[in-house]
Amino acid sequence: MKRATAILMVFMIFMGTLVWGAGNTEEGVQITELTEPVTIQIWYSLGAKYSAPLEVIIDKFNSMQDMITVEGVYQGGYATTQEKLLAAYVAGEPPVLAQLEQSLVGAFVANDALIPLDSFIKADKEFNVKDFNKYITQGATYNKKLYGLPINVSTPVLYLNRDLFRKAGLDPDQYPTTWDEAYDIAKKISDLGSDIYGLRIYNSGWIIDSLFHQFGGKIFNKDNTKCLINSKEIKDAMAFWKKMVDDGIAIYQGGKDGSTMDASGVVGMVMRSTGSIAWFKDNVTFDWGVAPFTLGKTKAVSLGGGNVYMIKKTSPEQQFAAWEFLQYLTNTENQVYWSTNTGYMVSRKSAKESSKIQEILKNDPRYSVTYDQLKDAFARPTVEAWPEIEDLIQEAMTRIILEGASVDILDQTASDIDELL
Amino acid sequence: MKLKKKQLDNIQGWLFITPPLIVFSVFIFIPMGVAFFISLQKWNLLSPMKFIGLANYIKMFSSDHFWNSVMVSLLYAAGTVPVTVLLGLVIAIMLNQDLHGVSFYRIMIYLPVITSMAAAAIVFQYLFEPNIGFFNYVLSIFHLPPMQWLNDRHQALIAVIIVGIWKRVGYNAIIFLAGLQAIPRYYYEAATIDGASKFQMVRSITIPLLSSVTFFVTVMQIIASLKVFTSIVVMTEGGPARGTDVLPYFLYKNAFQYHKMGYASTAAIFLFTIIFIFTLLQFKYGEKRVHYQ
Repeated sequence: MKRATAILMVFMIFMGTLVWGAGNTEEGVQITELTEPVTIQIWYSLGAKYSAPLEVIIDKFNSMQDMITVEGVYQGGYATTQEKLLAAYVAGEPPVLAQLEQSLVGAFVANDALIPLDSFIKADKEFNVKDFNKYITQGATYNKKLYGLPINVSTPVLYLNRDLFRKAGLDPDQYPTTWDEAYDIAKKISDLGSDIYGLRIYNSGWIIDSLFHQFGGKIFNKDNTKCLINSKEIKDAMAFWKKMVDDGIAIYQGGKDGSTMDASGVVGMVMRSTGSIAWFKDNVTFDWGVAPFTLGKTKAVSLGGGNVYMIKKTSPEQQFAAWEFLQYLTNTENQVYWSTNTGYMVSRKSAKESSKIQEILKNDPRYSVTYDQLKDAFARPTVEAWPEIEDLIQEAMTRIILEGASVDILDQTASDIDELL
Repeated sequence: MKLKKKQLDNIQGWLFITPPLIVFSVFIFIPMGVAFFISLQKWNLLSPMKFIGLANYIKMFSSDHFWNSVMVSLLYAAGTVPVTVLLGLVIAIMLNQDLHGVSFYRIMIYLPVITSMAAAAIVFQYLFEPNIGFFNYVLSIFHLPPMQWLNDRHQALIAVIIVGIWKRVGYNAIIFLAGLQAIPRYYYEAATIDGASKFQMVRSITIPLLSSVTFFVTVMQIIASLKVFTSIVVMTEGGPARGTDVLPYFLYKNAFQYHKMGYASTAAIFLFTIIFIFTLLQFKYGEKRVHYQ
C-alpha cells in the first residue's frame, strides 16, 4: 500500500509540474502555400436538418481541389461543442476550425486560444472583408480584431400562429410593435381557451438579453466589470413578463425545450431564431408568420447563432488550409446556398443582393424580417464566466415568474455575478 | 536463489492480479488521486493551475448551491430507494412462481435496466410534456389537475424520480429473485404443513431469510441514486431553478460548463466520500447478516 501511495504521489507531482497553455505564440499567416496534402477538421454544432447543407459545401470543397481535405464533425449542441473544444484544446489536439455560439467565445478570447483573422485578410488580396455586414461581424469582433467569420448568424424574430390570430378575431398581418400591443394581442388569443396561450416565453440567454435591452437595461456595464441585472429597467422587464404569466396570457417554459409546444399549435406568438424558419416549415401544420421582435422602448435584438473561429495549437499548414476553406465556406455562392436551406442570414452584402436571395425575400417576406431588424442588433457580451452567469439569471427569472419571488432577488443575483467577473 | 513456497505463492498471486490492477489504476485509482490533487487547485483548464489549499472546500461548504445539490440528491434518494426496493421485492415474489411464460415477464421487468438511459430520457421528456404528454393525459382520465412536470422546480424532481424508479426496479427485482430462489423450499413446505398462510410465510420466512439481499439491494440503490446523472442531463439540465441539480450534475456543470475544475473536483471528492462510506457499510455488514446456512 505504501508503494502505491508513493507512485500516486510521484504521478501527482508530475501532473502538477505540467504547465498548460504555453502553446505556440506565433499567430497569423506563416506560410503562403502547401507543399503536401493536409487534412483539417471543422467542428460544428448544428445537427439534423442544418448539418446537411454544410456537409454539401464541405464535399464540394474537397472535390474541387486535392491538397486540402476537410472533415466536418458534428459535436452536439452549442454548449457541448464548446466543452469538447475546450477539452481538445487543453489536450493539445484541437481542430483548426470550430463553430462557436456568440456568447460562448469568452473563455477562448480571454485565454488567447483563437487566432485573429486580420493578418489572413490583409495578406489575401482577393478577400473583401468589407463585403460582410458590419452588424453581423460585430459579433465576432473582440478588442477591435476580427476573430471569426459568420456562418449561421441570426436574430430572434416573433413567430405568429396566424390561425390563432384569426380565431381570436385579430388580423394576422397586424403584428405587435410594442410590448403593450403584444400584451393585448396575447390576451385576446389566450381568451380562446384555458390551454391556449398568447405568448410563450422562456429564459434562453439571448432572448432575455434582447428583452432587457428593449426595456433599456443591460446585463453588464461597458467594460463587463459590473453586473447591472438589478437595474430598474431589468426589474421592470421581468415584472412585465411575470404579469403576463400571472394574468394567464403567457406561458413560461422554465424547462428545457418548448419546440413540442410550439408545434402543437397552442401558442399564439413565440420568439425564436430566424434559423427556425426551416424547423417551422418541417414541423408546423398551421399557418404561421414572422414579425420583428423589436417590441421595446429601445429597438434591440441580440445577435444569435454562431461564427467559425480558427484555433491555436494547430500547425501553420492547417491554418493555411483552414483559411482557404473558411473563405470558400463564406463566399457569396455558399452563403446563398446555406441561407436558403436554413433560414439563417447571409452575411455578405453581395449574397443579399444576389438574385436568388432577392427573389426569396420578395416571395416569402418571412425571410426578410431578420434583415430588417439587423440594424437594431447588438453583440452579446463576451464574458468568460457567461455560462454560469446565464444559469444564475435564469434561476432568478424562474423564481420570480413561477414561484412568486420578488424582483428584488435580483440584487442578490447581481452581487453573486459580480463575484464571477 | 531459492524461494520458499510462500514467497513463490505471493509472487504468483501478484502476477495474477497485475492486469486488473493496471486497468483499475489507469481508470480509477490514478484519476482519483488526480481529482484530489486538483481539488486543492484553482484551475480553469486554459490557464496554469494555482495551489490554493483548502479554499475550494471552504467555498463549497459555505455555498448555498452546493447544499441545495446535497438536499436534492438526498430527496432523490429518499424518493427512489424505498419504492424501488419494496416494488422490487413485490415483483420478485410475483415472478418467483411456476407460472406459464414467467420468463417473458422477467425479461419485460428487466428491459428498462438494459435500455439506454439517454434514449429513454428523451422519450420520457415527451411523456412529461404538460400539454400533450402522456402523464397529464392519465391524470385527466382520473379528473386530476394537469401537472407542470419538468417546468416546475418541485414537480421536475418527482418526474426524474419516476424515471429513476422505472429504470432501477427491474434490477432490484432480479437480485431479489436470485435471493428468493436461494431459500430452500422445505421451509415453505414445513410452513404449509403447519397451516401458515401465504402472508405469514412471506413475513416469517421470506423477509428474514432475504435480509442480506435486502441490505445489499438497499445499499446499491442508495449508491445508484446518489450517482444519478444521465436522466438529469437529458431531461432537465439540473433545472428549473436548480430543482433537480443533483450532486453529480452540480460537479459536471462546474467542471465542464463553468470550467472550475478545482471546485468540481472538490465536489467529486465529497460525493466519493459519501459513496465510499456506503460501500464500507456493505462490506462490513453485508456479509455478516446472512441468516441461513
